[in-house]
Amino acid sequence: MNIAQSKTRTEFPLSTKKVIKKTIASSLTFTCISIIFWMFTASTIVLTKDSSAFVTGLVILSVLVTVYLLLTVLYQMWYYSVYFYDLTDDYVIIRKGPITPTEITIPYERIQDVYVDQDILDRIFGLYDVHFSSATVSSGLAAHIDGLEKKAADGLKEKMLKTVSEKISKRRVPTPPQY
Amino acid sequence: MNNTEIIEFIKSEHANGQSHEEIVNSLLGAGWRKEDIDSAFNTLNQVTSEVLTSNTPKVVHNVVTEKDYPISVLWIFKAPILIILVSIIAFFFGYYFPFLLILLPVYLIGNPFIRNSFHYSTEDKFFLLKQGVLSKSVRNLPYGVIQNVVVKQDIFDRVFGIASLVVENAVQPGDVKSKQKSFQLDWGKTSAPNDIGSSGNKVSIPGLKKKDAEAFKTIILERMKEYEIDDSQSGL
Repeated sequence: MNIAQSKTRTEFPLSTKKVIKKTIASSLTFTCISIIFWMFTASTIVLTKDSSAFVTGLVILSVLVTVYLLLTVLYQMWYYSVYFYDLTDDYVIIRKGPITPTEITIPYERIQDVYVDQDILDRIFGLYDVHFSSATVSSGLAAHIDGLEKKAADGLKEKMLKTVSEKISKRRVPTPPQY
Repeated sequence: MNNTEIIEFIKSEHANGQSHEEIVNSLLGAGWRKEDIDSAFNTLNQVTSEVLTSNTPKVVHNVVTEKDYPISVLWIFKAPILIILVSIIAFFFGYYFPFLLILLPVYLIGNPFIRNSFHYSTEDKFFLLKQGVLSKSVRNLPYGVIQNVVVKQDIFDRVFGIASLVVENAVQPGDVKSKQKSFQLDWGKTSAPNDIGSSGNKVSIPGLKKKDAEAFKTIILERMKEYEIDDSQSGL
């Protein structure tokens, strides 16, 4: 599978653990819901004292979960491969979504906030999300790069802060050469 | 001696209305030598007189309007097609939504009017937007306050090779009339299929060809860079 490469993605690569993390995150919900559903139906079946239906339900449940898991892995691998981010001279460009692509372009001067966060699964896998948003709601939702390892996340954050502060400082007194 | 750095600094400070002494003081503070500063001022005086004598031609931009990057006719049929699809799928499961079917002629008749009354153009300093069939509105968006530019495609757009361009500023939605529909088809996560024109803090131009959307995005980004406002809104 072709991976969407950019200078920034080569320098601060996305971790492949992102695929595993995302898969677990999305299948956890699905598994929980189907187990609850199964327990609910099972309890009514137990009342009718038909134990074979109980086992059939369990088999169907595990098949469903496996299929869902496989589909999610494939989708997440696809998502991972089309994930594109680049810090150009003037803008940050982030493009994601294999089926419904969204591309956001933010000039460095408009970036309001640079922050790094982790959720519980991120803590387990040692992944970091780097957010940079402008003053709009949609940028808060779209303008983040998630699934970076510590080194890449810190590097990206540092580079970002450096570029942003360079871009927004109005008075740049040039430094003299060493005499 | 290479003085370009110091000359650039003096130029920008002049533009900001700093006096001669203030510039000299800040340069001395940064560790520059007095001779360097004086020679820079001398070259700058020569350069400015040269510039004054030679008339520099002003850059003239092409004004981009909806004629250059038109909203495709497909956009008219986007909502109706989605409605029919949803109805068919729902029908297989034994449901049907009468409201959806009532909307069908509304969209089919209304959309051509909306499309014809929608105009945009990239004016000198503002992005001009005219819209509205019955209640008209004109919006002037200064390039300097545009916060971000988004190009997005939903499933329908992907199939037909079109894309929407969304330009956003930091206005609080509320004082600009925000379009609230009785219900919205949430196809493709973020946008209703009929999302067009200015609503709240965003201006969306749907139904552009993918290539056109990219080209138009580049034009807007260039303008943003050119008409940058002096005050940065960023607090970092």
